[in-house]
Amino acid sequence: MSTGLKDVDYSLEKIMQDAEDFLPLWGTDYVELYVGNAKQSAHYYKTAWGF
Amino acid sequence: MAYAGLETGVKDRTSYVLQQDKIRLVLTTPMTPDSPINEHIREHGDGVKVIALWVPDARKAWEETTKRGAKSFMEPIKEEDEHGYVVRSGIHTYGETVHIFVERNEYKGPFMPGYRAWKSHYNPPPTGLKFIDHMVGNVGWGEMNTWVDFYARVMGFAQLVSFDDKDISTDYTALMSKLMRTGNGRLKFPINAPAEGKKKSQIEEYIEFYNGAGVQHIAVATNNIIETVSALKDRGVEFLYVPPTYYDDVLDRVGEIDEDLAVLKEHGVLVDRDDEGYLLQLCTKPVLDRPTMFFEIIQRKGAKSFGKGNFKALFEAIEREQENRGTL
Ligand SMILES: [Fe+2]
Repeated sequence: MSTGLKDVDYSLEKIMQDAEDFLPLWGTDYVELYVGNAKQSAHYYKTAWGF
Repeated sequence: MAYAGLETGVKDRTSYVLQQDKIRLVLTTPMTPDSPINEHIREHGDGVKVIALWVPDARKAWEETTKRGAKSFMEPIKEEDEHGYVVRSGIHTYGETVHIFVERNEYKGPFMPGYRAWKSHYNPPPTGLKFIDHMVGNVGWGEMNTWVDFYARVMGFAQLVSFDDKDISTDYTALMSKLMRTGNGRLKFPINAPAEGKKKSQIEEYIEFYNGAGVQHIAVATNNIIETVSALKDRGVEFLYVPPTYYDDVLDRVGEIDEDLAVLKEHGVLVDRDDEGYLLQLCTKPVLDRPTMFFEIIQRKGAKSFGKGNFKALFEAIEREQENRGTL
């Protein structure tokens, strides 16, 4: 590991403020997969994964 | 949850939107031979095309990132229906993957304009998945710095930790990994790249079968990894095998944990720690026929980052699969 987390978090504050300024990101909105058969993929993600 | 296709007037593709807690998956398939989606599937097989990011201002996000060198995928577009409006814009990232910025503060509909609510009589219970913890990109030889730089300079991410090939190697293969994170910690995008080893690493295997860089895994968070993993196994999801010897010295490495080690061992759940706490994690086998994308289930107990203790166990587990596939 190159750096201890605590040091990084300290410098992150500054980077964060800069980034928040030009590109605030609130989270992942969605993930889109291109698939060969969306109907069957949807069934898999419902049945196996509980979506 | 939502649907777009012939019934909603869309002729060239069909999309299903599925949701579990905060995780939204969109599954899209081409409906005509000349759709560019065919080309994507021909090249890569099924895979992640879009990592969409929720922003307060999609127009500004596009302007700021393209100004900093991002290649545009989609200029800002505002779409409306009776539920309000959504603004989207997009930029390219590694491989053929893209980021779409989504501004939806003024939208009350099921997903976005063009989609209608999708109801089904078949609704299996959820498995405890809460949100996406991180999404990992595999990039090619020598591309690590390009993409670390992209997330830092264009997207305003910071590098949280870096693991080099000495940290991440087995007797046979090696790789590098750098964790890029937003200041607010809501997005974590580790980037992996291959490193020299005696045999072919899983990153090289991925790049070969995916035909380039792309999303290697989606890590989803749960509040109870044992319950989640049990439910997923019962429903047919296949996980990587972790040898019982992994548990011989795990507590020496990570210290005291709340969970019963015997139960973790039974399910093959890995334990790791960083400066702030520990985490429990477990990876599935690839969910596609090509050995490309897989999922990770993760439960954080104080750890905000990643340790390096599990890489070896994970890679040896993947190497066993590679051996079976003849791709090691
Ligand atoms: Fe991961």
